[in-house]
Amino acid sequence: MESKDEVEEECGKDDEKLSKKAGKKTIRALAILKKDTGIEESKVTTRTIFVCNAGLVTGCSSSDLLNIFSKFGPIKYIFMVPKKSYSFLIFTQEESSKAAMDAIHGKVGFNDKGPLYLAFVDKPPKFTDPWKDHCLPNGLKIIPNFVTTENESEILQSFDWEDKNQESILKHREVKHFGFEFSYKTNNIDPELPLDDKIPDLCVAVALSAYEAGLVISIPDQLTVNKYLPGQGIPPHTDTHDCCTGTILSLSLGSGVTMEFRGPKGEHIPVWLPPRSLLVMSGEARYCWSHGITPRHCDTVPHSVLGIEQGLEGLSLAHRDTRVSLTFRKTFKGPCSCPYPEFCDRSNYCEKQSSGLNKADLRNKIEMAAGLLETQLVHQVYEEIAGHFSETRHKPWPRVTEFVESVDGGKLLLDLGCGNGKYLGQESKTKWEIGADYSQNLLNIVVERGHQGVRCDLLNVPFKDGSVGGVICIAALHHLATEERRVAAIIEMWRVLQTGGRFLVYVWAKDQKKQEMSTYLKQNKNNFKKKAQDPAPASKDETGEFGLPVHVNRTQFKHQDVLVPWKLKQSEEQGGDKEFKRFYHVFEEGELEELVLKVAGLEVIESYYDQGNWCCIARKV
Amino acid sequence: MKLLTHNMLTSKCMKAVVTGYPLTIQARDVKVSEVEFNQDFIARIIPKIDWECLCRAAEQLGHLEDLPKATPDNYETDTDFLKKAHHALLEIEIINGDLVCPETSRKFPVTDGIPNMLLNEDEI
Repeated sequence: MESKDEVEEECGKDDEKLSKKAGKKTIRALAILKKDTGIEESKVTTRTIFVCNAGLVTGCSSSDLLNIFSKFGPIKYIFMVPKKSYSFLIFTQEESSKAAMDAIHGKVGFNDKGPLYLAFVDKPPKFTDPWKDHCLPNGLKIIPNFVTTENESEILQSFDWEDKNQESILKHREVKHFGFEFSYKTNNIDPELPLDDKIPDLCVAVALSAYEAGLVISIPDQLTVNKYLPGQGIPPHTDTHDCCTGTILSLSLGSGVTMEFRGPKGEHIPVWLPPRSLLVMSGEARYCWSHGITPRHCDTVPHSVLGIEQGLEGLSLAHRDTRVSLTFRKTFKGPCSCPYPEFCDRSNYCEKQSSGLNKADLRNKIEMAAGLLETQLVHQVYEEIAGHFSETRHKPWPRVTEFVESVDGGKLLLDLGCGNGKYLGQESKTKWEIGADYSQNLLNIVVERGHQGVRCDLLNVPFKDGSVGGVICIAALHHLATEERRVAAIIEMWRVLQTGGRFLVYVWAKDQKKQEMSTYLKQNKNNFKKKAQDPAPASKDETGEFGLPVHVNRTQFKHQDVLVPWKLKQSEEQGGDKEFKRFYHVFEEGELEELVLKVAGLEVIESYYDQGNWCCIARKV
Repeated sequence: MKLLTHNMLTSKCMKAVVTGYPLTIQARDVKVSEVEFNQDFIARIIPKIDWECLCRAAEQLGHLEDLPKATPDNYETDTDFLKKAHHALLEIEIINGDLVCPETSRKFPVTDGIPNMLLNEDEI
């Protein structure tokens, strides 16, 4: 009873009834605060005000508090405490907080919710901010302002939500499909059944700009549009692994929303998707994490992500409005080839993949470090061994020469990964041939021999669309570390080819004995001694960089992703013999053709095996 | 690098670049050498050429000479024209200099006749 009297006295006695009520409410709130945090009321005026009955749980946002309190003076911080009905304000000056107390406590409220009750405290509690210091899941990107506000309203207006049919109204949201249908019965897309509803042009433009920005390696051909009213959501889910390719895009229009990501180790990361932002999910985020939207009317978000109340700490509420999301996928045919078999919902295929060496781990490592791996284990090595490598490469393979000769005169032939240029300038000068390679030292040899050389990699071929009549890519594609990158390289070949133009790709085969023993194996004398046995010695597998198995030269391959040693012969003055390891992904039977067919707009003309290589000729249709 | 090669090159693989064509040439060393004239080859390659790009490139190298502004209608039989085209396409070479992206001004160095079109990770 004592404390009640004190509060009453502090409040003054101009309106006794009001003060009494305010006192009761304040005491109750202070008791809760003490229980929650150990913080007690300050007997003297401080700069920190405890707002007893307005917080995230009561639907109060920091802008509501700013509206009421900012007129009393500059506010340093507003702390909205997660899951609580109270909050804290810190004024820069004590006079401001005193003035606010006198004017607001028990008298002024907001949104017809009755007056606010306030008390001074020394400092706000420390709380753990679930948003603080968290990083996005691997493979997740948010591109803010991916479309302009004009684009946004154009796209929003282009959808007709009045035409409701049974399929479009789900339990908790409305949905439309374009290009192909995403079936919620099978959670899959049937790539054989295109819809009459093509992706609207405005949305195609979004997909194209994502493609041009390099966010996806192929242009999406399927669009799902979801409309969420405030209070609606989507249960946590991971898109079926083989329903589409490895990157999914989602454009948020209208309202922003918090999407909850949950990881394989129990991680929980809320991610704020601002209006007009593009969410890019690939790798782990696409295959191993689930994502969902909790059905509610507002999201608790850090002040910083709202971008309107700079300098404020803690959390605030973002009220949801109607949100329309555009999810772009690229349909995918064939068995799942995701690098995460332990997470794969298409386990038959992936189980097969994970036998032997811990492939999941290995694929993971390769995926994450693909660029670095190629730099260290391909590009740098070729730079070092260029001279010696070139000495060993002079005899053109007849079937490659045959292809080169079959490209019409007057057309450009591009040799991607040309090495020392042994396929360039072989016949009469009626064809324009350009060699492209990553290695400067190899290109120097190409140019010294009087050919044209351009330095680039397989993923970014610096030629105009449709500018070449033929492409050869001989023993280069197998140096790319992931399937996504190998597909991306084939897309580049497709892009630079003119319609009707053809490419020829040679990659090393895992099986070196498909026909007879390949030249590669013949060079190992031991392979002739015990023909019936596997020529691979029984020695223990050596493991090299990135945890990759080291291949024993002139033997059958035991793994698909391997390091192949190159013995550089050098004189003593040059530092003596040295060994380098190059990364190879050696191909299984049918794998190259499957890879080529993943790229729409290509038809396979011929697939064959030639001297330990899988080979494929395809045409741009 | 000959101008025929330059005629095909773009910087469009860079992010945010739309066409990246044609690449502006800032040459330090230019070499002109004689190449055997093959009328049939040149006649067949003309339709593949962006003629405006070729003229601009020749001009940037100071070798526009009397190269026509456009291809004549009957170019297949116009030996005089084809010889000029042959000269511009095959006989003028950029040895050292830069190719400049028309949209971002990113420079791609040409060293000993080899344009380096490699991109940094943050450019793709």
